[in-house]
Amino acid sequence: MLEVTDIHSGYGAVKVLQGLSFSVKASEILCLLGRNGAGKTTALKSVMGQLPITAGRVTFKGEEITHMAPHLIPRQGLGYIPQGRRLFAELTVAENIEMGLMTRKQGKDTRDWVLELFPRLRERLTQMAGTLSGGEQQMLATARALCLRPDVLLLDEPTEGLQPSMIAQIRDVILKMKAEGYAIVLVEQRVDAILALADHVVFIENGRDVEATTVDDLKSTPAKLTRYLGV
Amino acid sequence: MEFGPHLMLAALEGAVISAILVLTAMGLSIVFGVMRVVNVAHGEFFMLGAVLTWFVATTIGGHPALGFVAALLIAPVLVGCLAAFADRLILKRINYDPDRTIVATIGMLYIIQQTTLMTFGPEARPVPPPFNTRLSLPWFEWGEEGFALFWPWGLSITTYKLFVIAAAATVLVGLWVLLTKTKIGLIMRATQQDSETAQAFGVPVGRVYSWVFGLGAGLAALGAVLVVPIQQAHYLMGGDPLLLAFIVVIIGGLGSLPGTVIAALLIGMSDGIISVFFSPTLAKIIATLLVAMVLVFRPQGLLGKKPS
Repeated sequence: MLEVTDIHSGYGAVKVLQGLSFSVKASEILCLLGRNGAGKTTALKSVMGQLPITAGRVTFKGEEITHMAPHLIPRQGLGYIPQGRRLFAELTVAENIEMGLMTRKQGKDTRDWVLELFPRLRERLTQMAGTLSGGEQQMLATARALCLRPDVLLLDEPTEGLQPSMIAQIRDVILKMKAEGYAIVLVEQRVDAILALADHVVFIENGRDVEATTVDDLKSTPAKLTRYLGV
Repeated sequence: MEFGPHLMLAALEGAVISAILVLTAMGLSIVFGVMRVVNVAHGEFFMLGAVLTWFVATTIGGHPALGFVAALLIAPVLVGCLAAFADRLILKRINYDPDRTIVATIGMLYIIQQTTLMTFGPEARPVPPPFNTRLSLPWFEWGEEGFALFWPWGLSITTYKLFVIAAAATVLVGLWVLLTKTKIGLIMRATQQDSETAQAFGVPVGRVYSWVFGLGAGLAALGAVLVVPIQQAHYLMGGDPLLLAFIVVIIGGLGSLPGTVIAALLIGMSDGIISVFFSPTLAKIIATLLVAMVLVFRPQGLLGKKPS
């Protein structure tokens, strides 16, 4: 569904990605793993068109989107939950959800669906997003991205800074998305979360994919985690 | 004239100045708020609005109301389109870099001003008001026989000036509705807060910037259309509104629209009252002093937010 082939990208003169490839299919969770600065967030930003790709190609549902205008990429069906949530803090919860709905012209049924997934948001609709707790903010960020009804969801550290009960809730939602046929690309630091959620992992070092494997393989050879992540 | 009626007259003049100022400053504030661009050419868009009003009014001829209504519809739209085109042609190409946009808008200022001088000429041109009936205003007094109304000589206002106040208030309400109750407003506010994330939700940020730059210039032009029947159109008339708009936006808080309204009322009213009782120069000195005090004691302005 989403295929990233040998992409090079970075911030101006700083080249971060230097030949990264990965792919993800429907009903599959792919986890990008690597140490800090390896290029995981850069990879997601590059796919979303927020950083220029200088070489390589990105195809989505068979269509090349490598140099597509950044605002057109989400309209194709790519949802993105950035690191740190990046909510519109001075918009209400309802307005943040509306921003998600507008992207692909989704209606009231999608709004009701995400509010069923996260009932707590229904109680906070008129509250400013910036005043929510960390967990509620993550719920809103997830709900806002799901409002696109995307085919592929890119999640950048969705459990960062959350309490365990909230982490469990976010995990449940991710697994539900997978069961409903979503393809998910996950950037995550927590090994327990990776082992519980992902089907495949791609290890990244210095902006390159160095090994692609399955989670079952990772469980049987934990030395790989030590080698690539130092854990 | 006694002090009370004199003060009322000055306050009404101040209200007219506030009305024009709030439209001009609101344009500047919206552009800065959404795009983080300090538009030094804003006063020239005001001037263009005034010049276009004269051009449209004289071209159409007939009753002054015909030309005025046509100018009210045409001038802000034309100026807005020109500004949106300038955004695409210049500001977008320099990637909205804060330093370079200041230099670029200074360049735009001179290009617009000198082009107007070459085509329109150096003369100040009057535009007749569409209606201009003078209304006497009553004053009250507590005398030996209790509360009494009387009509002091000279205490009056024209219907056109009342229209200016009402029109500005209507536009402000419309702007508030646009920003808070419509999808366009939601997109503008989201872009203002985080343009990169807005893009991840399908917002064409470049196009939003062009619309916002056009809207800001259009508001300045609308203020100019309203002011031309009171002042005259002149190619150098953009300087004062630019200075006052900057004063208002700094006092109100950069990018804060409620702050801009409050500061415009404060500066406009003080300008009107001090000009009537003392001198217009003193009014400008006090406004500038107020800016200096705000910058020292509350740099974020009355309703602006401290940078995090």
